[in-house]
Amino acid sequence: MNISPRHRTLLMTALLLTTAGSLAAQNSAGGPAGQGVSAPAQAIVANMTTYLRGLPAFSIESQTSRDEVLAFGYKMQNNENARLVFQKPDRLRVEVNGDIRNRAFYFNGKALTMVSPDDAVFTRTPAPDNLKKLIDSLLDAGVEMPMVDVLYQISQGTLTADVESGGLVGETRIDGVDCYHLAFRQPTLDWQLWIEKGNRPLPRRIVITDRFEFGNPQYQTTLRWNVQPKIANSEFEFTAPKGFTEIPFKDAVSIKDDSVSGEK
Amino acid sequence: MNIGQCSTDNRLSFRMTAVALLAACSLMVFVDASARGGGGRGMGGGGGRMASPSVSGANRMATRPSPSNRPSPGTRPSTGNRPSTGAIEAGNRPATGNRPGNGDIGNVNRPENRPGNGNGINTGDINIDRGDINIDVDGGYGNGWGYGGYYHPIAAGVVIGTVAVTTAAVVGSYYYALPPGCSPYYLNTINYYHCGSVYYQQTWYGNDIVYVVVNP
Repeated sequence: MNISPRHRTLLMTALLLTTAGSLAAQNSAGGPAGQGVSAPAQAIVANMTTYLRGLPAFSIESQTSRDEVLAFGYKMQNNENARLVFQKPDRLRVEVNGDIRNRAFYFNGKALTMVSPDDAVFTRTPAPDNLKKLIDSLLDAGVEMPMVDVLYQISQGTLTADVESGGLVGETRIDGVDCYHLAFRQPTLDWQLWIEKGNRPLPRRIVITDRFEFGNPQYQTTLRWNVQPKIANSEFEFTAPKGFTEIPFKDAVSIKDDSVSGEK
Repeated sequence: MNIGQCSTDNRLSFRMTAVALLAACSLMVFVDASARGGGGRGMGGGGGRMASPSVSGANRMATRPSPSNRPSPGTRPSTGNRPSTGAIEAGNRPATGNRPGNGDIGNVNRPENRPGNGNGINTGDINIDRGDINIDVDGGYGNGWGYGGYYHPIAAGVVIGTVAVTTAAVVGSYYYALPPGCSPYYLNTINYYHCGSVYYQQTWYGNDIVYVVVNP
């Protein structure tokens, strides 16, 4: 890679971000979504969103690292691998294997099942009847699901809603594929997104940096896509293995109660 | 604390086990995963301030239900009920420099006095410290939820005890781990745990599996 043009781009982008940031600050919160995002960046994100929404099904294998700033100032990296299978309109399965926790999520359009294999427990709760409400409810309940930003963008399309400024940094090769590299700044987070160039505008990498957290911990995930996955009929149904116990879900009420999520 | 001594001790304490490594002076909590019953992580895994895992989580922060939807801190056991609270203060610990050459600050031994669930042990110390950070961040940032969108029950003011108690527990209290000697107790197809005079039920709470004090 030629460093100097990229460096120049970064400088220009930094300038753009600064200018747009102060504009956005003047307009304060509540302004239109993505007001400080450059036109090319907006177009690239919109293109990705349209493409994602057009996919009847997909699966993703992700590799994620997540910083954890310990009380005494040590920045520890946690790693996890996850697999997500999605089928339109609202079938979902996610498995996470990581340092922090191992989990599985099944959503068959009617009920959400969450499994902790290490504890041999699972919880099942009636769930909203569509993906948008499900994602809302999960975020409200404090449930962390990997790659939730991808699903969020598919179901709501407002990932850049709180962005104060953003632009196209340049181009980068991720996993052997040429990608656009986009950078965004919003009130508490800086985040970057790499979107595949060409006729498969898929998000290939996401980096999130906490700007106001001590130590500026960073989250990074790299996504490998299959846009024509083979999906078994049983893919989205959980069958409890022998010895697994069902336990109650503390936030079942907010998941189940439409009026709660309807307020969002 | 003498800075020079501190760095010397740090160098000595840099044991590159496959599991855990830590360097700090006054607030050193070094737990080998192998020293813990659960075989979990020696450090990390919920103890510190995690990077935000999603942009959408941050986007939704302003529209989330108020913290009052969650159990209020007032229904939780007071700090005094929780084990190990006092230990987090650096002042309670002997100065690093007074210790023998092994830099494994005294905390290494503490988990052995505790029951086996690894997560509870390790997070307990750090959780409390995180509480301090919460206050600072919130105060300076004017945001009741704190933190760039990383949403966690603890960030919302909910304190979950480290290891459950066997007496005088408040119904509705949450704990990450049970004390030793609890026996399963089945009633109406629900599996409770009976610990001394207290009954617990395993419950899924956010991302965590916790033990809630109940009256079966």
